[in-house]
This record gives sequence, structure tokens and C-alpha cells, in this order.
Amino acid sequence: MSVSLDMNEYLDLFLQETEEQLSILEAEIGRLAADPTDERIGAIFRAAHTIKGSSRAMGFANYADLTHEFENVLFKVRDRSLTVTPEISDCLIQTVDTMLSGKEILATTGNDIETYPQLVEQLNAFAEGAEAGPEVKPSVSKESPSWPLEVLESLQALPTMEGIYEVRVELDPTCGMKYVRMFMAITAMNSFGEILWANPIQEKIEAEEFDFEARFLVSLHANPTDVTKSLSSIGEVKAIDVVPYTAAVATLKPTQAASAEVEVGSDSIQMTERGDDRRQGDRRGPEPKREASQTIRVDVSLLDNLMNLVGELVIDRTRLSQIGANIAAKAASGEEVESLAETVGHIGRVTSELQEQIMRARMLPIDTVFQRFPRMVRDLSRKLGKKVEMVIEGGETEVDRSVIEGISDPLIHMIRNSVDHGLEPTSEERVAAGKPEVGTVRLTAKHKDNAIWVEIIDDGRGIDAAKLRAKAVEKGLMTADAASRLSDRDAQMLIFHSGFSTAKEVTDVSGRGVGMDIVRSNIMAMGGLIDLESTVGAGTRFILKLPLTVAIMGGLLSRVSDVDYVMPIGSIIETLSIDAQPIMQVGRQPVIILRGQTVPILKLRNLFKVPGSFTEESADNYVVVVGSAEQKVGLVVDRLLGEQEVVIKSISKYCGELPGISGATILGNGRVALIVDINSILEVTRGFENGC
Amino acid sequence: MSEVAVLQDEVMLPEQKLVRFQLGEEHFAFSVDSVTGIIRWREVTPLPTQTQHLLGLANLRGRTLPISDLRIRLGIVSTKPAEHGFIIVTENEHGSVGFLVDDVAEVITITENDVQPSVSETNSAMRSMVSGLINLDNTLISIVDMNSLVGVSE
Repeated sequence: MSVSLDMNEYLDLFLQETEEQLSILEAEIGRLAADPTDERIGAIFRAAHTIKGSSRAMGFANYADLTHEFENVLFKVRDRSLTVTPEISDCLIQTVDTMLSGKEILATTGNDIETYPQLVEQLNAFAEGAEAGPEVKPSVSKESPSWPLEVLESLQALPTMEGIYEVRVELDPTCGMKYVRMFMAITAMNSFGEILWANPIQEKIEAEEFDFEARFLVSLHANPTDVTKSLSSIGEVKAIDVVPYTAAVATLKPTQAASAEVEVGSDSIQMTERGDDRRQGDRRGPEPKREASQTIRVDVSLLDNLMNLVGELVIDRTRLSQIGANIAAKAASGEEVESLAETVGHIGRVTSELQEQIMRARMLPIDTVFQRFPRMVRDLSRKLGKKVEMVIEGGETEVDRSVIEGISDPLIHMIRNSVDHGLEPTSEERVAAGKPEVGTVRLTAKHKDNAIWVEIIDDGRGIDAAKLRAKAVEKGLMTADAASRLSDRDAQMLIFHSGFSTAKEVTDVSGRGVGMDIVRSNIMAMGGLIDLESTVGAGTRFILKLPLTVAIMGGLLSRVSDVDYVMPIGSIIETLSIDAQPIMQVGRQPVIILRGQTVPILKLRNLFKVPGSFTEESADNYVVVVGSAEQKVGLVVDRLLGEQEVVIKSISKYCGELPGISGATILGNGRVALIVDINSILEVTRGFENGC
Repeated sequence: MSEVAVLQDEVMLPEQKLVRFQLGEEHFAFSVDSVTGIIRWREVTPLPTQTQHLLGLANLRGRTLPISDLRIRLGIVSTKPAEHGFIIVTENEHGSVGFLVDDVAEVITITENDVQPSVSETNSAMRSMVSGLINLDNTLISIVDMNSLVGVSE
């Protein structure tokens, strides 16, 4: 069946929603067999349920049927009458794959998919084969007591029964599309209040498994006669009853439920207002469709535009406060100067707030990237014949969209690398080493020190510094003497060197040694840092420290000659006046001694070959110490101009490689300043610490 | 087939619009297609780069614009200071680039017939980037090939 003209405009919406739900399925289904928590089963069930409902509404009957069979199996799994065996898991994964490829067909052709009789039969067999569980049928049926006990109990928590109505909607028996009519009724009721419970349950209504009649328990904030009027305007509705709800409530014992929110079971049509928990994956009820929601979908490009505009505003704010300060300095104090300062201050605060709010709107849980990895690891482990468990922690950590985009590829590479090269090739080797047979790859995310830390930890073989030293010499990267002087950690860091692969054979999983160096440069290009800790025999931990956003950055503005440079606040340790710091020489490297630690110093003037004449007095007055606790470098500048937020602008590829520069920004005065790439500068001085 | 051939003879040759400018005493032109604007010289922040003709970044309406000195690029010796020049702003798939020139004259329209093969140029930069010559009112104008100009710098 093809989509009729008027349905076309819904197709995009449908595809968007289905895509979201499919990504949940994709993420969760791989973990189902290993870890069938109620939460996970529920998530899968709800996603399938939503897809089924909307594809049916779109007229994609085959797609809906396939999803329906899938859902049936999940239903049995959920009520514990069916255990997920590897066969069932494989079949379910296959179904999800079919649904994914089917979605592409729907998207490209606008037509329904073919039927998949074999798959349907297989799913059916699993669902039928389930032992009769305690609750094979949904708990609420037409014959059961009108409203379940938990609903009545929660009603008890309400201060008054006023506004609670029972609504009965009866359709004309000749009515063609029962679900559509009933759905219109549900939508109409939603505009007058909240549906607390539906009988029959929503699934049955969607599947058109009801006898032209449905009853709803509704909390109305409108006049019941309006509801009646609205409902009777729906075509093919035969009868409507709206009666105040009174029965049975008084006989119930008061409960401890203190919450004013009506807690409803998972089989109901849940219509309570929800915040943005759509993204958090902790939904309780089935996804209500087209509810009067408190969230809206926004095109990503709109958010990007907003972010850019706010970026401009941030620049102007800085500019405005400079102008304000200039005027204040020139004009004698007066009422107008004061109110200017006040207004400028206020605009500053509002802009900061606006910026923060838009940043938050761009945030996504990092699970958006993480969720695909269990599946990937599962496929990978089969391919390699390794037993691997993937553990994910902190998936709810929210990060900016730009960061999400930037880390996806590097993470894929690193996780593949951990499974392929990190973990021992065979279970025997693991057991012999006294480790559990199943290897673990742990992926975690958290906020720390105003950055996002993502860690990839495996309990594999670890990185053998000795092997890497030997490899470096073999490849002619350094002399045996230089290699022997490398600390273990620096030798381990060699894996980030281009053309370095220590795996004995090239596999099609991680490929040749063209991975980790690209990973590192990608992370650094985002303004992030990559680090590793590894113990031979115990495993490896990769640490990615990522910026909260790659669009706006706090920076220290400094000047050399006539050129402005911005250093990321996050990498600044301290600033010093050079007068107080005698410069010494270690070999040919000038250093300062900072609380007993030798810190190499670099003049930005020399490093960047800054043009312009200078006098002894005006030049090289300050040292900005940057880096980390382990590795520091002092950058010498002429002047410090203060801290400010800058909007990062990329530099055209036309400029080619710019060592030591990661981007540019435009300052309040309209000048272009260059953003210093601390990581690559640390790279330059790394050799110094190794004494080579 | 033959019909097409006949038609082609009668059809006018496609016209080409070029922006004409001066570097020192010499006249040049390049295709106007990728030109998005012409601005006066403005302050440039120098970049740490080995590429000599790359003067640095200018602020063009809130974006950073790399500025390339065409005189250096084409190996033309001239003493005229940059501050008096114009910047021709171009945009292509690699991003925007501004080319610093001494003076911008006009946009000229030519057909392929007007183009003569370039005479052997004195320096290698000119040889690789000048694609042809046109004679306009007894002024010899070298046509600079935009593609070789905006390719990512070596």
C-alpha cells in the first residue's frame, strides 16, 4: 500500500520517530540475552510498541505485523514466561536488522515492506512456545474490574475526586477504522485533561482488538459538556457518556502515596506531563503518541544557528563592556555613565544565561554514541572468537552535540582496538593468567574538572613497553639508545605514533597501524587530551578528556608584539611575572624552577616567528604555565590581556598545517586572535623531559 | 549529429566574465565566478606558517579570512605597501580566501576567441598559474587560473 498524498507530510515525522525508537532497539537488543533487566525489556517493548502503532497508523501493515510479532515475543519475555535463549536473541536481533533495513525501504519508496513469513513464523513459534505464564493475557480486560487497584489507590492520593470522570466512547458498528476514530477521541480528551487509564488498554485499541467501545478514566480541567460536545463531533461515534467518577474509591484504605502525580501502570495510556525524560530512557509507560507534550522537536540546524548567533552576541557583549569602560574612563561620573555600566552589566549576565541555556538545549546524553557499542562488540567478539563483555557506565552524562559528533569515530576505533589487540586472543590465555574467561571492555563517561572524561578500560594484556621500544628501533623511529631512555609510559604512548601497530598480524578488525594516531589527532583537534595507563598483564585504560563544547571556550588573552593569542583556560596552571623567575639553562633549553620542578620555557615570539620590532622592556614579560601536573611548559608572552570567552572559528584549509595553532577567534575589538594548541606545544617539549 | 555540428557553428561562443586587477605595473584577471566581494585592505593577524604569500587572517563580518598576497604568490617584485591594496574575496569548496592586489579595475567580458596562449613566463609561479593572455585596448592581461590559485597551499 502506498502512502496517500495527505499522509506524505506525516511520513517524515513517522520516519523520525521510528528512527529514534529503532536506535533504542538496536542499542538494547544486543544486551537482552546477557542482561535481561526489567528496565531493558521494558525499553525494548515500548520502542517496538511505538513503532508498531505508528507504522499501522501510516498504513504500513507488513511493517506493523512484523513489529507486532516481535512485540509478542517481548511480551512473553516481560511476564517471565519466556527466557531469552541465544536462539531467541539471534532471532530478535535479526528482526531488528530487518526492521532497520525495512525502515530504509519505507523512507526511500514510501511503500510498505515485503512480508517476512519465515521470520514471522519463527517469532510466532517462540511466542507460542512460551510456557503459560502467570499473566499471558493483559491484566485488564473487558471482564475484569473496571479500574485496576493501583489506579484507584493513586486516586486516593488526590485531595478530591472532583474533575475525575469516566468517559465511555462507543463507535458505530459499521465504522471502518476503529483505531483512527478512537485515537481521535483520545486526542480530543487529551486537550481537556489527562487520561489516567484506558479500558481496553492502548495496545488493544491500536490493534483494533475491541468491540467498538472503550472506557477511559480521565482527569478533566474543562467542563464535561465541552468534552461531550467535542467527542460527538468525531465522525462515526455512536454514543458518549461522561459521568463523574465516585464509585469504589471510598472503600479503599488510604495509602501512603504522598505524590500528587498519578502513578499509572505500564499498560495504561500514560498522559502525565513529562519533562525531557524522553532522552533519558527511563520512561515508564508506553510512548503516548501525539500527546500535548512539554517537549518539541527542533531541527538541529536551528540550534546550530542559535549557537552561532549567541556566539556573535558573546563577542558583542565583550565589545560593549570595553566601550562602556572606555566611556566611564573618559566621562566624569554621572547618572548616564552609571546606568550605562549597569545596562552593560545586565546584558552581560543575560547573554551568559542565554548562552548557557542554548548550550543545554544542544546537550545530548553521551549514550547517543555509546548505545551502538554493545552491538558492535558483540559482532566483533563473534568474528574474533573472543568472549567479551561490554560494560557501559555514565551513559546519561550530557555533552554538547559537537562533542558527540567528534568522538564517535575515535571511540569506534578505540573500542575495536581494545577488543582486538587489548584482550588476550584466547580464553585459555586468560584463564592461564588467572583471569575470568570472559574479557571485559568498560566504557565510562563522567563530568570532571569542567571537562568530560571518557574512559575505555580493558582487562587484557596491557601494553608492553619493552616491545614498543624494540618496535620503534626496528622501524627506525629512534636509536636503540634513545628508546632505552624512554620511560615506560612514554614508550607506551608510542602507540599513538603514526604507522605503529604492535599486533603481530594485521586484522580486518583494527586494520593496519593507521588508527591510534588518527584517533589522537581527532581528539586533539577538538581540544581534547588523550592519555593512557597500562600495566602488562592487567589491562589498559585510555582516558579522553574532552571539552564541554567545541564552540565556545574560556581563554586567557595574551599578546606578543602585535599579535593576540588565546590559551584555553582549562590548560593553564598559573601565570607568573618573568622578573620573579630567574631563567636557567639546561643544555640549550631555558627553564624555570617552579616549586622544585623544572619547567621548560618557550618564547611564543620564537615559536610562532611573530613579526614586529620590540624593545627589551616591553617584551617577554610574563610566563603562562600550561599543561598538566605531569607535564608543564612555560609560554613567554609580552602582555596578559585578561580572561574572556571566545567563540572558536575554524581556520580555512587553505592555510595548510599551522603547528601550535588550533583555531582562531574574533575579539571584541574586531581583531582576529589565534588559539594556541597546548597539546601540540607539549608535544614539542616532551622530548626535553626524556632528556633527548 | 550533423545537425548539432551546424548549430554549434552559428551559436555564439560562451562568454566569460573576469575581474581585472593590477599587481605593480602588470595587469591580471581571473574568473569572477568564485568572487564574493572586494574589500579594502584591513588588519591581518599573521600566522605561524612557512607559506610566504599567506599574510594571515582578517576579520570578514565575523569570520576569519585567510589573506594571500598575490604579488608574492606570482613572484612579482613590487614595493607598494599592502595597506594601499584591495582584497578580492573568493569562495570555493576549500573555504574562503582573500587575494591582496594593488588595484581592482573592472569586470570584463570575453569569449574564448579573445584568449591567446601565454608566452613563456619569466618565473615558474607565473608559468604554472597563468593560463592565457588577452589583449584589451593594447593592454596585455594575463589570465590567472583560479583552480591552481585556490588549491590548498603547498
